Amino acid sequence: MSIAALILGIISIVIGVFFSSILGWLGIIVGVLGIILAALGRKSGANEGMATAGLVCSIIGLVLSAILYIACVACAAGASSLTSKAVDDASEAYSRAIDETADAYSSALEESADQLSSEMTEATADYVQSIYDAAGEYVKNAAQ
Amino acid sequence: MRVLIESPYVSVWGHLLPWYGICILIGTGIANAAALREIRLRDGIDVNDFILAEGWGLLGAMIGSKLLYLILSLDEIEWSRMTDPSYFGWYMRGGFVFYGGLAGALLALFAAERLHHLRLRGLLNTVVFAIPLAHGFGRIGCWLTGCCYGIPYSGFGSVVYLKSLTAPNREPLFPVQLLEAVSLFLLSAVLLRISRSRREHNVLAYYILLYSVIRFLLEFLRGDAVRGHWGWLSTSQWISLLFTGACLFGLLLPSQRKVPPSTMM
Repeated sequence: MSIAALILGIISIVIGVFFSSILGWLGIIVGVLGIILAALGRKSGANEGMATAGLVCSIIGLVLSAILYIACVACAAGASSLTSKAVDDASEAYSRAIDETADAYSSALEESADQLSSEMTEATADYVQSIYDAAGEYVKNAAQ
Repeated sequence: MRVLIESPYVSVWGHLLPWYGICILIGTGIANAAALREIRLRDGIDVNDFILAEGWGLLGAMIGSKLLYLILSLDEIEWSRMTDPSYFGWYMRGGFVFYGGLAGALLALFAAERLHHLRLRGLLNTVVFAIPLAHGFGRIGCWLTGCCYGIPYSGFGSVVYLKSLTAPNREPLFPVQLLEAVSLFLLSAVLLRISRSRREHNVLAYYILLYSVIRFLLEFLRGDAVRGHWGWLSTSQWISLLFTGACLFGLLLPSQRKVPPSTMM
């Protein structure tokens, strides 16, 4: 039991140091199992030194695996939230760019409104609005 | 006063470490130290039993919180990609539910008692105060990371995230995580006080009861309502009500131990 604890502890350290990005969760589980076995080993009295060494290694491995790995423990974040967040941010930036372009265009049009008929102005503004709407649709679809 | 949080990471010696992990580490360290000190102040508790309980509790908490997360997000998981190690690893990394963890931990402790022939009640009553202590530090980590974020709010103490992976960026939000952290630290102090009193109390029941009430109330200030919702209340609030009812029921039941423990040696 103590030997098993030590082995698990060392494995968890290895995972924590080298593989924590993909296998961090495994390192945590292995570390916890090592801790349990080490405690049992210490209670049984036989080979208490090795059991304590196993305990220490398991704790270190658990900590190493966990600190670089756990993103957010107490959230039930939607499974898609992390991947689509990047898309959301991009689409938000895109929408804002469209918005600002449309605004600039509209205000430029307003300034030269006396040179164009009001119907032309409105038609152009509508056209700009339809571009914005289409862009929004495109972005919404791309985000799905 | 508004707080701007630039990044969920901090650069330490050239490495980018997540604040969340650091907070959990500090919180777990302090909570364990406090629990061990409390054990040493009382006689009759084996430190190894404490280690066993913590190990099993952690195992149960991981499995339970992941299971509940899975249940709540069933339709969002891409099952066909489950065999892909990077997708599976990413899935394992994010998304846990506290109540699932609590339930899992309790079940695991129950199993541990049976498996190793232990009596954990006295130990649990002594150390349960350490759980909200650690949890509070975790909530500070949440505040720094932008998870479990609050409702839109522009008043005193509002927080704006810039590069959060989970919270809406560039929007002032209520720092509900900090409020919860403070509540948890207070809860920990109350539980410690109860556990030190001369009469024996079911401190675990008090913990679950009080936490459920806190959680129910604070949930109204949470802005990440995309998580499970059922009718008017969020999933967490329903579970909180359930646990509150169960604890009140358990605590108010007349004690069956009217006969004092036998003094026959």
